[in-house]
Amino acid sequence: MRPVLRLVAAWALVGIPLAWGVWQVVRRSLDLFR
Amino acid sequence: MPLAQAADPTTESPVMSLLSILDRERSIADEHYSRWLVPPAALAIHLSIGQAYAFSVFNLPLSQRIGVTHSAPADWKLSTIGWVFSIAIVFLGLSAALFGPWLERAGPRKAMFVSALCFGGGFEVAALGVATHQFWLLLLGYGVLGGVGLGLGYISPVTTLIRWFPDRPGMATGMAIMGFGGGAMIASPLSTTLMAHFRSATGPGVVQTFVTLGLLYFCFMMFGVFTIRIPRPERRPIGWMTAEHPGALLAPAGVTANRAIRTPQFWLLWVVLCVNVTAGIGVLGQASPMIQEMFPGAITATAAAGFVGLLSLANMAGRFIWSSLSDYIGRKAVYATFFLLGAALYAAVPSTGKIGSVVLFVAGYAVIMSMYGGGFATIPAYLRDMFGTLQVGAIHGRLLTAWSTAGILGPVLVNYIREYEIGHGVAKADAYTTTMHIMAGLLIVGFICNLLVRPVDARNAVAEEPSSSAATA
Repeated sequence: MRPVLRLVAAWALVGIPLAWGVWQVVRRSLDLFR
Repeated sequence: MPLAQAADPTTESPVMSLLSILDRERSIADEHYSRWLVPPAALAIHLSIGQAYAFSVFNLPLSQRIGVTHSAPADWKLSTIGWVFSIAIVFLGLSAALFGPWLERAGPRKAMFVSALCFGGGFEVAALGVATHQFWLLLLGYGVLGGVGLGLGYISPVTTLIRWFPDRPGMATGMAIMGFGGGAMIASPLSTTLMAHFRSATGPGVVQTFVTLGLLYFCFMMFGVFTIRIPRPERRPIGWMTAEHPGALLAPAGVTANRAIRTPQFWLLWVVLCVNVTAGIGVLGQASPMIQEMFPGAITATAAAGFVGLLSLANMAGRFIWSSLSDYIGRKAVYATFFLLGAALYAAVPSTGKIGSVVLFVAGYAVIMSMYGGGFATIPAYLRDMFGTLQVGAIHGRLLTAWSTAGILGPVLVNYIREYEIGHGVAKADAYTTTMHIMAGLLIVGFICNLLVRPVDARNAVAEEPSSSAATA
């Protein structure tokens, strides 16, 4: 795999679940200000 | 057997041959390897083991294993289940302290593999314990095996990152340790979804969820295991062991772990970490009831859950932001900020409850939580500054016993002082004020200890050979 592609794939593999987890918390946190 | 035949790899058993891929020599980076692949490898481990902070989502379902919709008399009590998490954190500290020197010898890939085996395997043993309703198996699986996985998984990638990013150790370790904070954010909704999927008339779905999580985390951690590399011996990136950043307190060469624990600097940093974690952990455990009792009628249970979520976000962001900042202003200055600003906020925030300002209350605690996370993330770089990279993993492992201590001290301080106050007629909303003032006092102790930190005496250091960076990474 090309080095740049490998870097993008590696960061996506950890970044996507992390972003999903953060979004779940942000969604729940909005209840505080409703 | 002739020597040539003994050295012939074709004579090795297939299993040994397969396992040799975990050897330190097989994980040395080639010249095309980008060091920016190390942070995602580290994140894969920390995002997985960070699940530990979300274990509480299993408390209620575990207490209804037999009753399914309610707790039957034969079901485990919530107070009994609470021991599983406590044992896991104790074994995290113990394994990090005990296996640190082995990690230095075996290399990060082998240590991360063992961590994945223990953490993933721990879930499977725990699943067996739940399925057969044997509490000791649950404790052995998640508490002991899982705890060892946590300890090894926590220190291995951090040590490797410090060696790959000598020019920005704070930022690099901040990225990984941020993953530990983020792991709970993934695990909590994932576990809830899985339990809802597996729930049936005969059980709350915990067994199947444990089996699935064990396999998922093992596979995810394998990505980290096979992506991690150690720097080549001759590699000396920009900024290698030079005091070019303000406030840096660099040891002239490496200090061994056994020698480090005999220096006052190690114990001063132990107190610094312990105090910072004690103050934060006490608030984190009580966040939901605290905001509801301080703003009675204004904050519902749902809004309080949102507050807890916001604090975990601040905790995670602080891990990256504060540790990255430490590369510019120095580790000592960052901890001085934690303690001074923290003490001021702990002393002032209870008054925001009295004036009824939810926004100021939330903002104050968000900053406090960011500094709690920042304390975890900045300590490995502080250790590198003090003791060099020679055995920084083993030293970090031993320092994590401060975390285990704070894990007991923080909640005890908050809970018992609060109960004492309420028992003596203090209103619930005011009962936190004394606790917060005691936390502010503790932070001042931390400030003094941090102020006393001086560079390590050169006599403690051993000469570091140019090639030892790879040998000990």
